[in-house]
Amino acid sequence: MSDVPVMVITGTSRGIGRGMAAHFAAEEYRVEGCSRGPSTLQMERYRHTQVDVGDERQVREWTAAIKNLYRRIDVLVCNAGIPPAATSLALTAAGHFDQVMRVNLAGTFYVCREVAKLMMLQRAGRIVTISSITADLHEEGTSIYSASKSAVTEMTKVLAKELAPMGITCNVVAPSLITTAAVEGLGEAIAARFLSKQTVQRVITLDEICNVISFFLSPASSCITGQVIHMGLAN
Amino acid sequence: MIAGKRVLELLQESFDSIYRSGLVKDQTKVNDDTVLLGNGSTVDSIAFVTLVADFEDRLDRENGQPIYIVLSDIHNFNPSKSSLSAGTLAQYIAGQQGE
Repeated sequence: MSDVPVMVITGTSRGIGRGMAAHFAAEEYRVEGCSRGPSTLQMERYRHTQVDVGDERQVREWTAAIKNLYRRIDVLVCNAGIPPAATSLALTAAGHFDQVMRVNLAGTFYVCREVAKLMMLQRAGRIVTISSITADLHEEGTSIYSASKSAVTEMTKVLAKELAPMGITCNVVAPSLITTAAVEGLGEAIAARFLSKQTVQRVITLDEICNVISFFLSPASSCITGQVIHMGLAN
Repeated sequence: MIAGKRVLELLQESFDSIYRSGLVKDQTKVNDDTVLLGNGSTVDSIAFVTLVADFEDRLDRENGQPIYIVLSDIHNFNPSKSSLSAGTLAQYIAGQQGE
């Protein structure tokens, strides 16, 4: 078994996930990433698999392959998600609701479940889920997205209690506005409205998000679990 | 295909593993009637979850492909029983391999 720690990140073909994968693969981690589409990142310590995290069977096959390859997973970052659509609940299609819950919530559940089982046997591990401050802003037009992210936060807090006896920590990062293609798709007016509601009224950077994750991964943070770091928002 | 006797042997290894890790105080000798979950079980909830994860891992390595233990499926498989025994789990595993 290699001494290089293994980090699993979901949703790594673009946005925050891709940035995190590049950041941690450039550090000491061997990063296993996934997305529904092909890889957009070529790095020595990065390996990509096409996986739909909302598909239980695909997640099981992917995590089993990682387990068989390394016999260890040190860190899991559940990032994959469908971004907010800025649509009033009254106009939201049932299909959109199903899709957001399937990827954002069920996808996080499937990946956490399979990885947690290996971490339990290791008696060690770090799980970080990515939420959003939109869940705390109660912003109009984000009802389904915010509901999914609130559920992810709650699920992570409960998981933190379940896994604490095995030496595994589970925490949440809730970023504020960051410049990604998904956020740009919302349009300038909505982005400006988000910013005006943040405590720190600027776009945050990928490095700042990676810094928070690194804090959770530090050996000195082994007693930090079930916590939510809201970035750019006093809560 | 893993035979029923071998399933019990792997389960014994999993029990030994959680005993070595300190999750349970006493060693368990596994047989068909050993209660894994419910009245008469010697493992608490944390030890049980770890036991299942360890057992799945051993089945995976033995079988060459994953076998997943889904508790609700086991209950549906044998709804008349209020507890889960090693023998019932072994029958469930045999059924999983036959699918």
